[in-house]
Amino acid sequence: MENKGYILGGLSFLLIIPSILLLMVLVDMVNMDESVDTIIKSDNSFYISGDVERNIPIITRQVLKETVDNVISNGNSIPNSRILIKNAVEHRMNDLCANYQNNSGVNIRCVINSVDSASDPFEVEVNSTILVMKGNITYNHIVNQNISILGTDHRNKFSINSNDSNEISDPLPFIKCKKIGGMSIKNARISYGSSLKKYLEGVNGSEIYENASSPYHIKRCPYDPYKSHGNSTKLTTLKNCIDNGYYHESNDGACLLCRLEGRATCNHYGFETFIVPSNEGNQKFIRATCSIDHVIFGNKNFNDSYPGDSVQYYFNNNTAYELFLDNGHRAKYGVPDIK
Amino acid sequence: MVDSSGQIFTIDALLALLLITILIGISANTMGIVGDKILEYSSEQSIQRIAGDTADELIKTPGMPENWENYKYFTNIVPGLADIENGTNKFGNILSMRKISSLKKNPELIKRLLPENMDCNLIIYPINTSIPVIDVISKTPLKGDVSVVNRTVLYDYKLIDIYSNIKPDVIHVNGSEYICTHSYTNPYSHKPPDFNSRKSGWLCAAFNIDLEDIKSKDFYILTDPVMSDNTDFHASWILDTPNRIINNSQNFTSNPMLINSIISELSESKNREIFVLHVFIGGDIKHSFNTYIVGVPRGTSAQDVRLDNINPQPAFLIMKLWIK
Repeated sequence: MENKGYILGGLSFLLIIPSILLLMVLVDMVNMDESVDTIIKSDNSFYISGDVERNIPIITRQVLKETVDNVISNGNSIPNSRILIKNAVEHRMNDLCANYQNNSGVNIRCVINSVDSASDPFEVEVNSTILVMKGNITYNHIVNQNISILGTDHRNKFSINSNDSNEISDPLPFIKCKKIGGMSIKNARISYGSSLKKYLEGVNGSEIYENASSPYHIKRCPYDPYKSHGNSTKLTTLKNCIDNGYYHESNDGACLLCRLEGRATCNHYGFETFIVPSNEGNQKFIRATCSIDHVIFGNKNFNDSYPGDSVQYYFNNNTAYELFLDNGHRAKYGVPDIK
Repeated sequence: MVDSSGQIFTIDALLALLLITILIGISANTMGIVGDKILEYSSEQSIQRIAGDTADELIKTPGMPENWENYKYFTNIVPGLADIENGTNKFGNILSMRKISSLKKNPELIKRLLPENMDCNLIIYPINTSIPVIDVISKTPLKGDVSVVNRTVLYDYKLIDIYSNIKPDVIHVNGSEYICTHSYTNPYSHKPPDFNSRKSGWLCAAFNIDLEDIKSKDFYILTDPVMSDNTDFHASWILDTPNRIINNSQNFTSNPMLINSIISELSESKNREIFVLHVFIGGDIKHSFNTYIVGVPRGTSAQDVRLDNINPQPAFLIMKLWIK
């Protein structure tokens, strides 16, 4: 056998090994681009999920306003407002997410877990989960947002542009009285006509509520603490509050979502407002049903509708403006025992 | 007889060995160079990445807990500078001046976001050069690799709190405007202006101030744009309460006006006081202005009470990171 070729053959084989190593290094360096690509995709998903998150309050507010407007126009309560609103918001969010999918290829889904009353009665709390998937990057997180039901510029900012389309109205009076007939809206106030008197038929003193009025839009009262309503010498703060149609936080009054269901009281922290009798009539009552909305609309059996004593809060040209408050509400609004 | 020994030491075998040695040497060297390059690249990327991530975490998160700037003791706090909008859980792209000041007073908090062996400095350069540069963490970088991150941010000089803000607008919907407390006792009730028919009028708004704030803050009234002293029409204002109606108005000046004396005179020492601001403006929408009542910590110089500081200001946030 010929042994002559082994050494040279072996040495030339050794030449191949470093070239293989060089090749491996080259291939490795070329593949580094992938990590940069991953970072870009991940940022994109993050920004899209932020966009979707920012749309949730806007869409929820639109849905709330449309739901309230529907209830007001047909006077029918909704059996389960929370579920209905949750489904409506989710439906619109799905449309929005489909847009993102078509435009950027990011697979995004928004699941609304719940819509409920927040600790602030003028807010609604929405809990949702946002899921984003692009290629093999996934990103999901749970978001809790509080959405205000007041018009824009409602807090420290005041704008004379209180455009009707921004504010959400109170659905409860319409659920209770619209079908009776005679209700109208004048100067951002609900005028009940004879409907409220007919609603309260059978209760002592219901005639005083002929042509009564109450606020149409939900606005938070700035005269906080509420005892200051009665602190003025001639109850002018109370008169101003009634004229401006403000709502006050209340343990007994229903929150907005329960009002959509036709309930005047609920377990959640809600709000209340005054329903003031018209002062054109000649009837004088010393006691009548308390002029607070959750008392008047409380219970058809009128177990919840307790009477209040007359409070004359303003005089003008021989007309006395009065409403009826029970002891509890007198104490709440700081109204002294004056007649 | 064939003699086959002596093959190993021929010249061509030696040449081959030489070639192999050279090739192996070159490839080992190249691998060494490439390896060093990769190491350098990845360590540079990792410092750059750490710098980018730290800056992102500072800018995009409000910290843990979200209102950490109000705490006295910072034992379990992770800093973050994003501002939480009032009363909501939302935090956007605006930095809170309070958090920036807290971080400035306690610069060691940044260590919670950085790896042990790294240090940084952080400076905010407002785009408006008349606003001074904010030196949040001032340390000098060591000689060596320094990674720089430059982000454009908005910060809100929240040391100024807006208590009331009246903005006139052309749209005037009947029945939705605030009915002023002057409507009852005064024969001259405050009617809103009508920009469509160029009638002047009053814009009024009620607002609250807590007693705590009345004692600890200075209050100013100012306008946007700043009032010039040479107009024909003199806008004026009244500050009163629902219980104490004041009829005499005061003219606006071009500088913010300190109104502490009016507030303490009207104050009834209740936990929360209610005030009403009334502004008399002309019917020409082109000459209308926004009015603000703002509160700043007591002792703040009047020069710091500026319109710039009310709205979020853009700035460059520059963070430099290096290995200690």
